[in-house]
Amino acid sequence: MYILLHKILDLFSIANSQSVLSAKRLSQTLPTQLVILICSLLWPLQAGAQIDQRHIQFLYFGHVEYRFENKPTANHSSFSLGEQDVFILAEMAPQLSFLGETVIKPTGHSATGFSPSIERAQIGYDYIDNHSIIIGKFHTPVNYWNDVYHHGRLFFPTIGRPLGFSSMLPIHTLGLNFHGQNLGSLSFGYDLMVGNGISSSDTGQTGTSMSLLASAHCNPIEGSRLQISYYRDHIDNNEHGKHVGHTSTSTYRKDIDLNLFSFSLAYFGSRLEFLNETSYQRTHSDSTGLAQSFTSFVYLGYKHTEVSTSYAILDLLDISDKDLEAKQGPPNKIGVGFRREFSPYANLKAQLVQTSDIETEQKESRALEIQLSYGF
Amino acid sequence: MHKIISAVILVILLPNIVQGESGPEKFIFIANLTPQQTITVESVKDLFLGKRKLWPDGNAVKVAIPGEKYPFAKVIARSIYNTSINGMKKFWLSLVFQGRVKPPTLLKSAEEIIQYVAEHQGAIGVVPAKTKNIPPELILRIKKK
Repeated sequence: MYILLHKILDLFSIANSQSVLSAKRLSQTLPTQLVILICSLLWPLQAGAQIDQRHIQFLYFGHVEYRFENKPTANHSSFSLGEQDVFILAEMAPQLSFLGETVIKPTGHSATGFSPSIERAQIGYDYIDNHSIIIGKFHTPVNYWNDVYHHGRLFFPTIGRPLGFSSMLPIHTLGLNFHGQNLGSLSFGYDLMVGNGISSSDTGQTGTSMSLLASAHCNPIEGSRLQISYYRDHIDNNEHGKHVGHTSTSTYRKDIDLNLFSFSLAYFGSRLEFLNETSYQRTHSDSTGLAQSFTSFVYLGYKHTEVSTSYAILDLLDISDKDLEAKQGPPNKIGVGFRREFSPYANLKAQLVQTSDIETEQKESRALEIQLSYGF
Repeated sequence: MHKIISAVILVILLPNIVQGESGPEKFIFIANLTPQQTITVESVKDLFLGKRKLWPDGNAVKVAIPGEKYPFAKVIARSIYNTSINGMKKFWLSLVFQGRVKPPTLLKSAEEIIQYVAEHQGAIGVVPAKTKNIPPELILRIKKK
């Protein structure tokens, strides 16, 4: 096993000769079964790396967490191993590239507690200037967070995602995306996407309805980004496949029309950091008619030094009782936290959060969360 | 006077040039382009910030920057990225993770950067102005505003 780990690290060293994790440390960090699974995923790629080292790059991201939760009924304290993310980038031709991201993540129904999932498998063709066509499975560019961070907890400003990600937002799409970025003096960018919708899986979907997205963003000042997007889908039988982070809590099994409007404003300066993610969803079903749901997340951070940041979060979620597509979640979450970066490849976050219960706002839980995230 | 400076060995004085131990350190941009381009300082900076994927001739932009073991990295991190070496590395790691850019090549010396640029069509790099034996055909011409 120790030799096997060294071989994995040899692979990483192709991309980054300054790999920060030794084999011994890696073997202490990851459970044996997980390491074997990673080995089996990486092993076939070694041959490719030997053919032409310069055109393939491997990266690895992951995190470990501790959580102490104080609930009205009981306290909980636990460590947990989070998503382990194997990332591959390959240049197939000067204008043609591949990006793959396979995540081994905790799942309740697996014997080991983990199961692999293909999160991204996309081929990009840069056809002119900063315009490209992307085909495959990619992160739905619905808002700033999903476009920029997604699984990369090393880059998250906080420990977890906004509440909207587990209740109403589409996070993946398998399809085609026309993408542009850094156009003109305001760094204008766009995404025009068509793909399998929320009811689909990675192997296909029933019916002919496709999800559509139009998104535009610009950078009014250095370090900022303003983004708006519109996403629509016709959800067959109100089924939720692999492209959303939630399943409907409703037993309704007829079609639903969904329209989602999102707004993001981000600013990450040398001292001040700010991020707002707001989404407004309209669904229509034969049963309850029109339903309107809303979520808004605000992050405010202050960098004391280049590596130390204090922050506060406010997260609001309002899922209409008539919304048969979205999943009910905590109506609000507030918290304060601190982030310390040890290097570009590791950081530690600690935060205190208070989350309202789904049923009644009087039942609130408080939690201390600590997360070590890494990537190299 | 013509807007384009004909002298090709141009030392770039970016607005926030770094004050090193022995005073401000100047540097030269090099690129492997046929024919050699003439571009503005802002455009060069955009290339090093991953904001441009392709050159006008369709070649992919390949960025070569000094790595951690090369002290010149500190100058480039501060001048172009307005951050530390670690900040520069995290900046690129984030862009690569987003799938927006090709990762840069980090090299240990001016000689390695020159060699890399010379061997890769579309490559762009930066070396100290005092570097000797820079092939003239690699030196990027800078257009005045």
